[in-house]
Amino acid sequence: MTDPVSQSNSRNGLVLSLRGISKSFGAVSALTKIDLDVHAGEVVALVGDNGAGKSTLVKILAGVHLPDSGTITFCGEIVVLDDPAASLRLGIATVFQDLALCENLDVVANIFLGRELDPWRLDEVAMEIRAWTLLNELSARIPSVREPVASLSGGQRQTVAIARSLLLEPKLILLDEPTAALGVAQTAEVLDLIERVRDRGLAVVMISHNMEDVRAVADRIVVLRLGRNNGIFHPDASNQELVSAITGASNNAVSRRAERRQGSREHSGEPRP
Amino acid sequence: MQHDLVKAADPGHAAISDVAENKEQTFAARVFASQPFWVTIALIALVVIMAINEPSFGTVENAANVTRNFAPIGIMAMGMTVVIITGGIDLSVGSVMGLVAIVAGLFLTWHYPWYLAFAMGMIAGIACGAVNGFFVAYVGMPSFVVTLGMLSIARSLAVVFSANQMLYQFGPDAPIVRAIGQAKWPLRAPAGWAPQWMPELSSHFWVMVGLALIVGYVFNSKAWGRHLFAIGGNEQAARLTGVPVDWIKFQAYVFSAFTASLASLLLLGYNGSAINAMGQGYELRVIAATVIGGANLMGGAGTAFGAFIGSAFLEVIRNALLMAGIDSNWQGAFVGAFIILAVLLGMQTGGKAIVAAILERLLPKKHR
Repeated sequence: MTDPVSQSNSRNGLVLSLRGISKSFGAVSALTKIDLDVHAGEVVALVGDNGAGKSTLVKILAGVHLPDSGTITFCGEIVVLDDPAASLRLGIATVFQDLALCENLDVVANIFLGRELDPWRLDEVAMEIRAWTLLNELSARIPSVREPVASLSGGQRQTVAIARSLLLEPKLILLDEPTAALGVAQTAEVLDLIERVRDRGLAVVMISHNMEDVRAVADRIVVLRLGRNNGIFHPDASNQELVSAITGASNNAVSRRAERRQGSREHSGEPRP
Repeated sequence: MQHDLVKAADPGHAAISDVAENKEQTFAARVFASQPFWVTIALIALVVIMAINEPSFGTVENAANVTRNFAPIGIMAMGMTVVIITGGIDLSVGSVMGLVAIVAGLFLTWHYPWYLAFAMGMIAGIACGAVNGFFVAYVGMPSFVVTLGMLSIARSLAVVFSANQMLYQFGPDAPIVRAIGQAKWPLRAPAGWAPQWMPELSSHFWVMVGLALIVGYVFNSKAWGRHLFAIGGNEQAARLTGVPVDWIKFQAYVFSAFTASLASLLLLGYNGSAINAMGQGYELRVIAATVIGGANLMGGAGTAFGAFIGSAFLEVIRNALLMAGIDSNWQGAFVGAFIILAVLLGMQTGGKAIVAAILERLLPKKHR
C-alpha cells in the first residue's frame, strides 16, 4: 500500500484533519478510528462499498452526527461540529446526494434559500447578479436563473447545488455522490465543475461509487471498508488494487469477472508510472 | 405564478413584474400558464354573459352584494393559501369563526367596550390557530388530523359558551360593532360623492383587498414568503439550508386562524348578532376557493390573487344560478364541477397540457 500523503502535504495547507473518528449506532459501529487529511486545492475521493461508512463520515463533517470519539481539526484548530449550522459557520459546505433543492423555486431563490439578501424586502436584483456571478465563475451552463429548478436537467441541478454551497465561501466542500444518476455528458460537466472548484483553492471531499469519475478528478483516493481506513491511493492506481481495497479481497467478484472476460489489459493492467 | 397578484391587485405595480421577468420566459407566457389567469377569464365571461341575459345581475346593488358575500371567504382563503403553500390544510376555520363570534358576542353582551370584545374574540381564534400550529409544526402530526380535531373542539366550545343561544343584546357598543360590519365605501349621493354606476363596496370587501395586497407583497418580497414556498416544495431541503421550518409552519396556522377571526368579527358586525353555527361548512368553501385559485394541495404553489379570484368565482356562480332562476339545489353540482375543471386546467403548465392532450386526441400525429 503506497502512501501519497506526504507528497500532497507539502503542496498546500492542511484544511481538515480527522484522527481516530469512531461512531456507532447502537450495537452497530459505523466508523472505527478513521483518519483523514484534506488539503486546500485538493480533491479527495472517498470510496467504499455500501455500508463502508462514507455517508456517516460525511454526515459527521456536515454536523448531522456527532462522533463518539476522535478529533476533528479544521484549519489548525480542534472543532466540535454539533449541528449543521456549526459546520457552515466554520466553512464546511455539504452538497447532499438528494441535492436538497426546492423544485418549485427558481435558481436564484434556491441559491439564496435561508440566507436571502435583505429578508424584509428581498433584493431580487442583487441576488440575481450574485447568482449569475457565482454560476459564471463556475462556467456553469444554466439557461435561466428565473426558471423553476424543476425544469433543469440533473447536471444543472447539481451545478445549482454546488453553486449554493459556494455562496458562503467555504474552505471545504463535501459532495455526496455528485455524479450518481447523471448522463455521460452531464457527468463530464460536473467533473469539470469540481475541478474548477478545486482550482479556486477549495478542499473537496467527494463520495462516489463510480471508479471512472473518481480517477478522472481525484488527487487522492481514500478507501473505507467496514468503517475502517483501508488504504490511500493515487488516481493512477490499478482498478485491481482499488477493488481489492474496497472489497477486502484480491479474489473478488470483480476480478473474477475481469479474468473471465480476459479484459485484463483494459480493466486491471494500467501500468504505474 | 405568485407574480400575478401584483399585476391584478394593483395596476401601478404591473411594471415590476414586467421588469423582473423580462429575461426568460416572457411575462405573457407565464400568465398564460397560470391557473388564476384562466379562472379570471372564466369569471369575466360568466359576468358578461349573465349581465347581458339577466338584467337583475348587472345592477350595482347586486355587485355590492356579491362582493360583500365572497369577502369573508376571500379573507379566509388568504390564510388557507398560506397553510396550503406549506403543504398543510386547515379544516378548522369555519369552527374558529363560530367560536370567535360567540366569545366576542359574550363580551359585548356583558357590556364590555367593542375593542375589548373584538380583542378577546381575536385571542380565542388565534389560540385555536396556535394549538393547530403547535401540534402540526412541533409535534409533527398531520395537519388534516389536528385541524379536524380543532373543527370539532372549537364548534363545541362555541355551543357551550353560548349555552346554545343566539347573542344579540350587545350593550352600549352595539352601534359601533354594526357600523364596522355594515360600513360601505364609496357612498353614493346624497351621503357621498360616488356616481350612480359605482357600487357601494362593503368594509368586508376592502378588508379582503387590503389583506390580499399584504399577502401578495409578503409572498413576493419577503424572505418569510419565500420560505413558505420552500417548505411546500421540499421541507427537508428548507430545513437543511437553515430555514426555521417549524416556526414558519406554526405561524402559518396562526395566520389562518387570524383570517378566520377577522372574517368572523366582520360578519358579527354585519349581522348584529352572534350564533354558534356561524361559519358551518365554510372550511370546504374556503378550500374550494383556494384550490380554484391555483393553490396546490401538495404544497409549494399558490397566490393571493388566486385566493381572491377563486372565492369571487365561487360566489358569482352561486349568485348567477340564483339570478337565472335555477333550483338552488343544483349549486353543489355546479361548484363541484368547476373545482374539478379549474384544477384540470391548472395541471402542469396551465391550460397548455390539457389543450395539447385534446389536440392529440382529435388530431393524432399521423394525420398532422
